[in-house]
Amino acid sequence: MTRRSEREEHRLDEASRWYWESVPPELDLYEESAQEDRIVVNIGPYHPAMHGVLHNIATLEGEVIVETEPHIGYLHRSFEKLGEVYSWQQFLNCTDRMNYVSAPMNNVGWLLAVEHMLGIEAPKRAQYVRTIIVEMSRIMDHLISMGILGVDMGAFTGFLWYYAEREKAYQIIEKQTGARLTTTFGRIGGLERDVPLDFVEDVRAWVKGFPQVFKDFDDVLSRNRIFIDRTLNVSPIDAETALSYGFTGPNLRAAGVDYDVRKATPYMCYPEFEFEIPTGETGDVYSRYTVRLLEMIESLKIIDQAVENIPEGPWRIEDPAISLPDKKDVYTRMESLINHFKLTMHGVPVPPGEYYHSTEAANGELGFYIVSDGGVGPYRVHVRRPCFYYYSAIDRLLIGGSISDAIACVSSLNVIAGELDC
Amino acid sequence: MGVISRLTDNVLVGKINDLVSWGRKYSLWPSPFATACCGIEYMSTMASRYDLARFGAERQAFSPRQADLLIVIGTICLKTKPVILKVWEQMPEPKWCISMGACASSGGMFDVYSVVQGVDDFIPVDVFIPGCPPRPEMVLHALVMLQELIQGKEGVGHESRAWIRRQVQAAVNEELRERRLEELTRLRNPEAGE
Amino acid sequence: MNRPLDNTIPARELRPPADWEERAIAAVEQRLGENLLKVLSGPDMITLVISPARIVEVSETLESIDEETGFRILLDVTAVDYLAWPESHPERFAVVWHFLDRHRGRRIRVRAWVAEGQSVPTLTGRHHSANWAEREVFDMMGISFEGHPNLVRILMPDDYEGHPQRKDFPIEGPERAKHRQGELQGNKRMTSWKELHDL
Repeated sequence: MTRRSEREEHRLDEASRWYWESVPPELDLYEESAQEDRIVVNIGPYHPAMHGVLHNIATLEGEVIVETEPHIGYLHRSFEKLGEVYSWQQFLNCTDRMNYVSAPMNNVGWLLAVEHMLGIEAPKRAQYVRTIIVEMSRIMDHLISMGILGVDMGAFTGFLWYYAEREKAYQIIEKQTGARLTTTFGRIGGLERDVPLDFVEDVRAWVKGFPQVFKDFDDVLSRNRIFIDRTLNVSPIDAETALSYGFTGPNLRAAGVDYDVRKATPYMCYPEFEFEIPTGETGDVYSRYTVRLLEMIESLKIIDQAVENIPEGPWRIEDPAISLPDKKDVYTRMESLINHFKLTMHGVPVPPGEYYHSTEAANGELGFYIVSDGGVGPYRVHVRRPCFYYYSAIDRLLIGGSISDAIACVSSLNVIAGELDC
Repeated sequence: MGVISRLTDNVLVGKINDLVSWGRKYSLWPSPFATACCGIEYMSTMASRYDLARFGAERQAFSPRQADLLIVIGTICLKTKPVILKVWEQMPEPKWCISMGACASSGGMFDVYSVVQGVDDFIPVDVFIPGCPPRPEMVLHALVMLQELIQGKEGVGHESRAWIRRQVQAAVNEELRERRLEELTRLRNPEAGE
Repeated sequence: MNRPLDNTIPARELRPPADWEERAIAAVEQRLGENLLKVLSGPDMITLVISPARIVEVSETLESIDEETGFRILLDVTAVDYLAWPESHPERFAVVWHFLDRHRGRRIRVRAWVAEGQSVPTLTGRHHSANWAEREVFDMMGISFEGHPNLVRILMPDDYEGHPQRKDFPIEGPERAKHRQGELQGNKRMTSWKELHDL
């Protein structure tokens, strides 16, 4: 049974217990009145929890949710059909907008899938910079999700502290890519430009200032009586159910399963770095919170190792069929002009076939299933997005809790509507 | 006006409209209808670096009955359209609307079957913010522009109206002026090929 | 379902044994017989092409390929519309399933050719993740799954007509496609850049 209704039974005071026990059992008044007391309430799509447009039609009995029906599609922007109209390089713009809090991770996921189809590998320098920016995005994603978890409980201060760190990271990413949020980071075969001269110092300074902020937030929330009351044992999920629902990422690790795509099927240069995979036990909101906090520390370790050892060398593959030539050559030499034109209009020569490549995004296993017919753009793109599977389990997670538990649960799953509806 | 000139040493005199507008503009309670990526930049605007509280818009009213400014943040899809209409209708007058981002203003990069091509199809928008996503400074600029609009300052936010006025006055006679005004102010629907 | 629980399977060496692919193909072939139509080996993983009615048995077989580990997780269900494919293809649609073995870090793809109007058995009884994935395939492509508990639209409004991701559905929707000017009008809207170069 559920935690909430057990507690309510204990709370029946003596008088009401006497009354209800004196009613003859064949009348069964409690059940009847309970049926009439059910109300149907819309949680969302416009709701105070800042989580995008998510809709749940909840049937409440008192404050306890007894049935819930999730509805999605309020942000369906059909990236998959846009993939058929855009070229290989242009779809990179679309990938930003999926999981928009950690856009570089989606970018790198797409680039790796296309590079694997082409059979090329970006040079080491590009891989290291990609790793640094991807891990920074992972930290940024967790910063927002844990900050917003606090805001949904009413703890606004932690969000502001974490957001200040995110702003500092925005400066670094903006120097490299040109944009704060929707970054379109990287190009097929490498990066879009070489890193700025102060990239290494900036990242080092950011990494140095992060543990103090982490400790502040931890002090404020992790052992806070109110926070623990609201998150411990709220919507737990066991490992077998989570795997059956297709959970991956921090929510699965909170249930005790140590599956991480970076370790199970490594990609890029992750085998060269040492990091661990934190796991929880019960899969409740508190475990998900703790797992994300610990993952931030692991990502910080990776960035630390990577930034000390960025190799010198080319920052993109020097193949004229894949990388754009330098602008100064495009304006002065005819061959470069034609090369630029061909690449922009006709795209990269991806061979026909199908490919599935997945990376460990901040929310779980983000997979790109691409079918190519050798044309300018993909024939079919399907994005295997982790939030879709989290939200499908929402009825199992919400039933038995109250509305405030529902808000905490949806918040801790880190469901990003852009990724959910794709 | 002898009385007024003797009183101006210790009494502030002004039009009630101006005072009420002053109160309204500096205490806008926005209702952020945040759907997509622009929502994260709106969160940046609310956070400590680009502080929205400086402009009086700190208290985010998630209940539309308590809000006077609806900020449409992010892509509006076909499924969301009745929801946002309901929210707009529940807001009491006076109310304003800011459409933040390219998706809310015109559909953005999503010229697809499921995205409404601009929220001003069904909600009267006062300020449009371009950008994908717009920087927080742009959101603040839009808020300031809206504040000046509320105050009724001449020439601000009404550039297009001043231009229309000049065009109309340049017409030769009354009938042509009316026709010019009609041409310039008729709302055209790009989806119907106009 | 009495298969061993995930966390009772002891941690193994992450790399799969060298000949697992042959054993997997052999096991599926033994179970399916001639319903295993083809085996394609791609750069990322092998693909088993089956006839759509046998997917539940394939899922059962793949669950324990060697000792206790096997493909126990259904990652994804999706479909591809081959209407505009340049070469010949047996049927219009292909439904594609991806399975994951998290203990050994391997994935496998299963694919089935489905004609328009044909329905495919559901995997909801074995994997909960199939529930919403199949709803999305139904919504976007119009392929129905028999035995699905709640096969309604998921991403589009409930009363929407048309299946958007099909190749003959214009990207801006049928109402707006009528207003496209010039030769790219109505349903001649190009759905791939390829057509740009054929013009």
